[in-house]
Amino acid sequence: MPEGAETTEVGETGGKFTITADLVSKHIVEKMKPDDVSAMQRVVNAGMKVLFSKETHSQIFDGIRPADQVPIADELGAGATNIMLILFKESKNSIPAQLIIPAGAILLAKACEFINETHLAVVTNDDYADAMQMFSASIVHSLDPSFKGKISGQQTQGA
Amino acid sequence: MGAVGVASGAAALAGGTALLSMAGLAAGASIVGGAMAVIGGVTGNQKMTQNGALIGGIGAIGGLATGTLGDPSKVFSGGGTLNTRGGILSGSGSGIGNTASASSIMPDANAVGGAISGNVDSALSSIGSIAGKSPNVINLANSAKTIGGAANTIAQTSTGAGSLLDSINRYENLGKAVVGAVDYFGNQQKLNQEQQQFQTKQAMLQQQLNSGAGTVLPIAPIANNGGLLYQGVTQRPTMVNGSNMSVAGVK
Repeated sequence: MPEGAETTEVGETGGKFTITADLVSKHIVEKMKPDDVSAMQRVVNAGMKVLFSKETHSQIFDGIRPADQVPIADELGAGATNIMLILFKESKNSIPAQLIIPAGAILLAKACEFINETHLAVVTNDDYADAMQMFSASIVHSLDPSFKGKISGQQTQGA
Repeated sequence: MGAVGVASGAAALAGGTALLSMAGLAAGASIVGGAMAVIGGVTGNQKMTQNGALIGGIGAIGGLATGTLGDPSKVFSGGGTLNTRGGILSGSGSGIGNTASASSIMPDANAVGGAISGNVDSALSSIGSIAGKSPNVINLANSAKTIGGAANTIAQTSTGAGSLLDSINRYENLGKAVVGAVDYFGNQQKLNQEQQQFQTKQAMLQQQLNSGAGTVLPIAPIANNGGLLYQGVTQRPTMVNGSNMSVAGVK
């Protein structure tokens, strides 16, 4: 698909991978404050170095094992979480909170593109969606361990 | 993408203390949730839309959790639903009860705005998907407008929620745009009528131009062997009221 293109086909696309990193980035940037866009791009660039540099590339993608029992979405979600936590730690906790999940979403899409293009495994739109859900929940829980308790409290008060 | 960083990442975060503003994380989750919902709509992928709403819900719950709740009876009543997947807690939440006091309940208007954005995005995406299959597109589009209008009312009755208002206005405009698009492209008769009007106006203008009536051009004369000629004019000018030049046959 050309850069930035969106399919207009209405139908189930869960078995294919049509969600490109450019598409994800475009829709995230549309919703983001202008001041945050360049900062997020810097985080994405740093993440790309982790994903594709000679030193770390093989370590990251060796974790993808199509034949094992772990669903690819779980491997991707956990991987994205770990990469963002590494970046957060390496930045000495300076990455703005509101950029972590958006940057992770773009990096995850880039990793999915790479995995499909190199035939390392087959990643579908559904896999990306599931991986994103896992990533978002686990990153929030990891960075604020009291998240679970806050949800429980909110449930009680809101009921 | 599995093994690397598992140990280092997790170890860095041990201790049970929040390292970041929950409201910030919630805002990011809301942005991504909204984006996923839209992408789900344009690609026709239901799971993206559903999970986008879930992630937007994480943002909503996270945002709510950071706020100081006022009178619980007036507060957001939805709260959210919880599910577990792979042992990790995830949540989806929506619903605003007494919206008039939203800003006093919720110090972080961005989180609310983002959460509502996610939900409205999701609704619009669903409407978009359904519209492709249903003949009743205008009603569906009007529903989108209603969603936007309702959200706008929420924002206007809240105080100090500027970013929320901006966010929501965008979705109201989106709803209007959907209605406009359906009205315009769905009505070939209107299109033809506008085209006809345009052609009529064009013909009238051409006629006016050909006749030269009332056309006065402040053009400086240039020297020519045969007398005075005017740049861009193919016929000799005539005097009008002794001062202005009326010309015809302008190229």
